[in-house]
This record gives sequence, C-alpha cells and structure tokens, in this order.
Amino acid sequence: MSDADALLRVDGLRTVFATPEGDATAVADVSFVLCRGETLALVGESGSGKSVTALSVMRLFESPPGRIDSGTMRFRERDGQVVDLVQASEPQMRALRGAEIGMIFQEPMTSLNPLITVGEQVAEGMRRHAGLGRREAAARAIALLARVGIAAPELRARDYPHHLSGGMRQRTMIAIALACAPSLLIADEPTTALDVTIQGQILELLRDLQRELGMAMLFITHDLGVVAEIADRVAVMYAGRVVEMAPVRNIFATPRHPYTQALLRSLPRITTGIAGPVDLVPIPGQVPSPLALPSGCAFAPRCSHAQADCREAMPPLLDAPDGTNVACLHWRELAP
Amino acid sequence: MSPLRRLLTRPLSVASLLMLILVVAGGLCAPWLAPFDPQRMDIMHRLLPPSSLHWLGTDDFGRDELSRTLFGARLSVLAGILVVLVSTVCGTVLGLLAGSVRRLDDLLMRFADALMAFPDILLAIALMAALGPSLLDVVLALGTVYTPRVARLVRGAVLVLRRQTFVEAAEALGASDSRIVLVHVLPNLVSPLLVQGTFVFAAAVLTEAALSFLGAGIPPPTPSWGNMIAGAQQYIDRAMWLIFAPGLAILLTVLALQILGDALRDALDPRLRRLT
Repeated sequence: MSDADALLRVDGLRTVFATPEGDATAVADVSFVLCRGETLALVGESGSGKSVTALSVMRLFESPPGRIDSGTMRFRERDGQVVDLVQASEPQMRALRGAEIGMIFQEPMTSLNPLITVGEQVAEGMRRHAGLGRREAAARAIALLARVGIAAPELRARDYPHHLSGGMRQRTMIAIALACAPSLLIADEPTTALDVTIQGQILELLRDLQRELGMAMLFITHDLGVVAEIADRVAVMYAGRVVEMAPVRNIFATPRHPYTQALLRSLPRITTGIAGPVDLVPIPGQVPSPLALPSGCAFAPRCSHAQADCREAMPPLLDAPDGTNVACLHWRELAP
Repeated sequence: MSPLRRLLTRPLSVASLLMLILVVAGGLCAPWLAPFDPQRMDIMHRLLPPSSLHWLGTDDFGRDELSRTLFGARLSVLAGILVVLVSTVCGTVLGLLAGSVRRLDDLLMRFADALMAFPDILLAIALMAALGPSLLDVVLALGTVYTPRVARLVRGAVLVLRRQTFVEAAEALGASDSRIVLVHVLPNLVSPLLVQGTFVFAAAVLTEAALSFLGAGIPPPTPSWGNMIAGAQQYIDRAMWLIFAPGLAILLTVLALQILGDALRDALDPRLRRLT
C-alpha cells in the first residue's frame, strides 16, 4: 500500500477518560491505515473501544473527561495536505467535520432535530461548507434525498422527522452525511436499530454511494453478518486494542486470534442448524474493566489457550500470512 | 392531534382557561367595567353589605369592593406577566450559560442553590425592604426569586439535549457551539419554558398577594388583592364578605394557572404526542 493512497493513517492512538477511580483507557495503541474507496470494519463487543476510536477520529467525545493521550491521526485533505487530527485546532476540526469527514449514527430516531424539516437539515451542511444559497441548497437537498432512495423527495423535504419511518430517517442521515461528498465516512453501527430487510437496503445504498463517490468508510459494528457484506478489511477490537486485522475473507475463513475464533463460534449458522444440533459456544467470563486491565494479553483470562507468557506482556501485532496481523503470541499453534 | 386541541378536550383545562380569560379581561377592561372609581372614598357608606348598587359591598373607606377587585386583577396579572418575562429571560440566559459553559456551571448553580434555599416569601420581603414599595420593585424582587427555578430547569434541559444524538450529529457536521445552542437547543426548550412560565405566573400572583398583605408589596391606596385582604381582616367580625372577593380571586386565579400548567405539560409531552 503506497503512502499516496492512504487517506487516514492512525498510529498508536490512545484515548483515555478520567474517572473518579482513575484513568480508564478506552482505546490503547490502535493503529490502522484507511485507503481511498476502502471499507475498514471495526468489530468488537460493547466497550471494546470501537466507537471511541471513531469518535476520536472526529474528536467528538466529551473533553474533559476524555482526552487523546498519544498517537497521531494523519488525514489527507482534499487539496492533498496532510493534517494530524490529534493536533488540529477546534476550528480546523469544525471545517473538516461534515465537509471531508461525514458521520452517521446508530439511532436514526434521535439523530435528527425534531423541530427542523428534513430538507433544511440536509441543506444545512451544504450551506455551511459549500457556501450555497438557501434555494440552491434546498434544490440539492431534494436531489440528495432522491439519491438515497426517498420517494417523493419534494414532499418529504418539507416533513418533520417524526413523519418518517426509521429506515427513511437513516436514509436522511446518510443524505446529510454525504451532502458535501466527504472523502471519509464514519458509520457508527448505522444498521443496528433497523429491521433486517431495511438493514440490507441501507448497506446496499452505502455500498453504491461509496463506489460513486470513491469515499473511504470506517464502519463500526458488532454484527459479523454486516461485516461480511460491507467490509474490505476488518479490525477486531478487544478491550481497547486491535487483536486481529485482516482482509474480510480471512476473518471468516482463517481467523487467527483466539478471540476472533471464539467470536465466530458463538454465532449461529444456518448450515449447522440443518446438519445437526446447533453448537453455539459462548465465551466464558466478561470483558475486563478499562480501569483494571490485566497485565499482558487482555483476553488471556478468558482464553482457553492462554499460557504463562500470555500474562506477562502485551503481545504486539504480529505478521501472519495473507496480509493478516494478529496480536497473539501463540497464533502459530492455533489451527485457524 | 395538536397540543392545543389535546388541551381543549379536557373540561377542567377549558374551565381554567376561561377563568384566566375572565381575570385578564376583567383586569384589562377594569376602567370601563368598574362601576366606581376604586379609590373614591365615601365615609358615610363604609362597610356596606352587598347590594344592587355595590354588588360586593364597600370597604372600610366606603370604596366599592367590585371596582377594587377588578383593578386588583389588573395589577396581579400585570405583575405576574412581568415576573414571568423577567425570570424566563434571565433564567434562560443563565441556564444556557450554566449548561453550555462548564466553568460557569458550578458558580451559577451554587448561587441559584443559595437563592433557592430561602423560602420565596422571605427572600421577596428582604428584597422589597432593600428596593422599596412599587410595582416595578415587586417585579424585580419576584423576578429575582423565580429566576433560579427557570435557570435550573433550563440547565437540566440543556444538559439532556446536548447528549441527544441530533446535537452530536450537528457537531459531526461541523456546527459551532453558538449555532448548536441557538438552533438545536433553544427551540427545544420552548415547551418546558411554557409550562414553567405558567407555574411561575401562579407563584408570582400568590407571592405578590402575600407581600401586599404583609404591607411589603403594593402600598395602599392602590388596590391589590393582597392589601385588600389585609384591610378586610380588621373588620372580619363586622364585614366578613370583604375577604371573599379578593380571596376567591386569588384562589381561582392561582388554581386555574396550576391546572393549566399541568394540562400544558401533558399536552406538550412528546411521548403522548406519538400515542394520540
């Protein structure tokens, strides 16, 4: 991967939240590269740090108590300049948000202002960042609503959010996020709150729009089914760290990290149900508290393969075959 | 169903609304409705019981009780509205500041706590003693008493609203802090402020009457419901009817405002809006 293709290069990102009991490390030493037109899925359970990673890129977490302790996030702007999002000033970030980095959220029901019409909310970003006039922005908003698959967009633009269904609201959120054609779209569980049929439609829409605009996507989800549909590469997160980073095929075909393997074993599969008794294996134990992370590998207390050296030092991301990186000392001994 | 229509489907809130319209209209039109000059004394006809000439009787100076009650309504409504305006404007500004500027939050809220620690009436009397007796001073004193309540409500609502995803989404679109407060937070405060305003109105009418009753509010001879009751209490053995007109006026006005405030709160509740 050449440097010219890299849109976002995150290195050693560490985000902590000050709590009365001490600093809670939500994201510890996360690094990844995102290229133009590529989709990277951040996968993990609640509290694994995937959402905080996304919010760190936007610098949208509450601060204080949150702060980025160390690391760099080099983002290539449209004009080719590279800016470190960790160091960027707040006005600089405001100019980037919505213009070059778009974001959609999990809750379409509450992500729209209930008192402003749908059309105005879509037009807002264009007026701010592209400097369009009221009329022009309104016309573009209607075109955008049509593009994201909303029927009768002229009428819907005049509606208030509570007139729309969940799927339509999420389409509206996508229209808002894409109004200024950002080069990076951060999608924080955009399909979690929708029913399965709508989920599929929204994912398809996102894929189409991504191809059209050539934008990169940072897709946060806990749903491995969604990952299989949309991602090019996958970063599996556990307790604030990336434990495995691999092309999407390999995650499902040859998972290397014991946590990834356990995650896949805990999923129901249609084939297993037909062939024989469903054999779901839950992962014993709980995610460790970010206030009291174990020394060494954070997954070791729950890992059936853990050995003495696992508890001594945090394993670094090691190279495995086929472009996979895995943070496990013993990955060679584990059958994928 | 719109909030207004839902409000009007309840007999009790309709009755309250009618009562308030009656009080406001009576106060506004007092100069034309009142059969006598409320300050004209007539010692020969003092403490008369209700009759066809003086519907509600006359007080200890022979002034017409009905005229005085009507002019008292004028004063109570005016004082109430002005107190609501003062405390809502000041409370909203201070609440927005406390809710959005972290450094000011503790300072402003501890100050509000200190003011709210005093009983309404005690604080109002203390302020009146410092300010002096006139309508403007009553409004300033009561405005100060009720500003912390509004500020506290607004601060709480701002904190809740700022955590709403649509505010976060606006931030993700690059909106500035001032734009978020003005476009996304303030309009969403209108319904709680409307409800709180109604309750402040009721409390202000009551406290103004109490101040005037105690002689710390509107000084005689200007008729106010409070100082009318104060005057009437000395003659309670001979002219008991004198306490009824201002007393009932206070009771019904405050009750109507309270019921209306409750009804407004229900009618504006977005959770109910979705159900009906």
